[in-house]
Amino acid sequence: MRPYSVGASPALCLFLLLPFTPAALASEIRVVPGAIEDTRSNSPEYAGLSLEIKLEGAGSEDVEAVRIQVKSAKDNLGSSLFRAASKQKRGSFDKLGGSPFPPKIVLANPPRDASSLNISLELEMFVPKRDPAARLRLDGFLSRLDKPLAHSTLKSAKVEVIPLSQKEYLDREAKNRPTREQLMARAKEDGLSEKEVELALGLMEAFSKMGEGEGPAENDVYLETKDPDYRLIDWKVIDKDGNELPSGGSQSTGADKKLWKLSLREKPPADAALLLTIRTSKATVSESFELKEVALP
Amino acid sequence: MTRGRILSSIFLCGVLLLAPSTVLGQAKGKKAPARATPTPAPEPAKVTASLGTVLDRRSAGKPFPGSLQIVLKLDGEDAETVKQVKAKVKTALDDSGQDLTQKESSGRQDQWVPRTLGRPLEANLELASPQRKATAVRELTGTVTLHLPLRDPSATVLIPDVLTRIDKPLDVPALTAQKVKLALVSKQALEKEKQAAKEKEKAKKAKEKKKKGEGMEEMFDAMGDAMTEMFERLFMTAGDNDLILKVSDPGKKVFSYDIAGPDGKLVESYGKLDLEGYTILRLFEPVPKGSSLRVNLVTPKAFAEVPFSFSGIKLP
Repeated sequence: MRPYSVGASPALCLFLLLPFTPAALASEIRVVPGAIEDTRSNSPEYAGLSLEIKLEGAGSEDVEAVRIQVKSAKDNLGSSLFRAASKQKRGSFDKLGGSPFPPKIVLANPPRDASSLNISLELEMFVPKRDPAARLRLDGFLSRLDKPLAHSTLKSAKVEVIPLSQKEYLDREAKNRPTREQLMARAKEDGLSEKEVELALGLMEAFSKMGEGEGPAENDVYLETKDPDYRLIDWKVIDKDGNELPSGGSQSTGADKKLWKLSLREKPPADAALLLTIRTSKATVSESFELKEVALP
Repeated sequence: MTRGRILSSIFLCGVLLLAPSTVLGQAKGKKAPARATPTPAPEPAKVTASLGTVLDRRSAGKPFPGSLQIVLKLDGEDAETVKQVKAKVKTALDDSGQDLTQKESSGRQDQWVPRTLGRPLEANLELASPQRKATAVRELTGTVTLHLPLRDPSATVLIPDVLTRIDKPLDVPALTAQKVKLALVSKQALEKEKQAAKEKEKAKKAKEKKKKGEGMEEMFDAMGDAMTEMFERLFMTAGDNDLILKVSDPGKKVFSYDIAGPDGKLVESYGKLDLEGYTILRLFEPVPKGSSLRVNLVTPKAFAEVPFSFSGIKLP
């Protein structure tokens, strides 16, 4: 049988496929600067420049998450604003739309007499529309607790997902709870001062106690995920018709292995399914962008 | 969301939670009653101000405008005994000639800020954002007012074993002499007061309706609702560990309150909220049995002023 046997010529089919090629996507999407904050201080722990980025243009609404890599950043006087933290290891993707934390880049402070910035960056854009396999529905997960879910997409993405019983969640949570020293080290890596870390840890303890005992445990869904390549973009619980079950939000702990607790408004039905959003290679597009003459505040 | 962002957000939340009571009071839309301005002490305090962190937050596209924050470190023999500080900037000019004084009080500027236990004494000055081309703050002058209750024995009234006196007036001659009436109120008593206030308003409304006709009904309904709402807010905002004080202080003689445990150590508080004749003392932990209430009064000797004057502060 010939391919494209619905009466269309191969040329027409090629034309129909064009809008989904990386080149076509890049030609439509623009990266524009959002809010900029130049925090200057004689205490280095507070200092730095952050610039939020926004996507505009046709097709930008289909981009669900991005990861930014700064290639170069210079002010108009020629100083390089790269700093150790901006030569980041490639981390997780930032979700777009509805997130209180838009994607941003972090640079060193330009001198006071500088007036603008020029930045080259590479943007990896996750566009799930490009690959139906990016949405993975796993039915009956509530009857397969405490065992890894098996699926070829998960395997190829090196993502491990284990739906947990409450007991197993609590056991693993207690076992994996990071020590105060580990939290301190991690927070310092993120640029917080010792004083800030102490205060943050105290508040974290207070907040963790605040949620205790709220809502019946039967409404909660627990997962453990392992995702070394940052492929798991999102997960939710849906009913048999595909509607998302309303929740009061989720919380997670851990780094290499993450423990999740999703507090649903009601007890999930036995036939509830897990809907995972996986960043497949086909759904990811990388493009380079330039931000020119971004005015400094 | 990265851990850095989470921690930063939590830290920001924490800073807001730990904001001084006056700020919290204003955030609720009700201005806390103004405190009497203490007369400067006859003897200056042995405290000096030096420059600490300078933070120039410059932003565009953010909901909050930029600002320049300068921390003054307060050191000296008397610094240990200071309980609260209030900073007031008189002049602030950058080297481009721009006036950096905030036209309206914002953040911690011109507000009493309780000292955080275990931290060095500091005062935060909040100034307007200097121009980018400016390189220094040419001139910065002002005053830090300190609250030092230990300098004046008559400035602190101690009410021992205060938990045994819940729902009874805290009659103490030193307070009566200042026309201050205090009572520690339980939530149960508050509920009764709420009901009584409702009944009183109902009766008043009925009486006025009879006297002046239907037109006044709406107004009295609104008044009754406002009273009930105030009690509801008290219930909503008072946490399990908090103490609720009913306060009558026409001469504004009370400056602050402390809770001291049976060992004399202060029970850590995260501020207070003044609400229409009531004060909620926010406490991290339940008040231990045998604790005392310390009422700090406004007396001239309990306050001191430390003037400051700096020039050529390099902008980061």
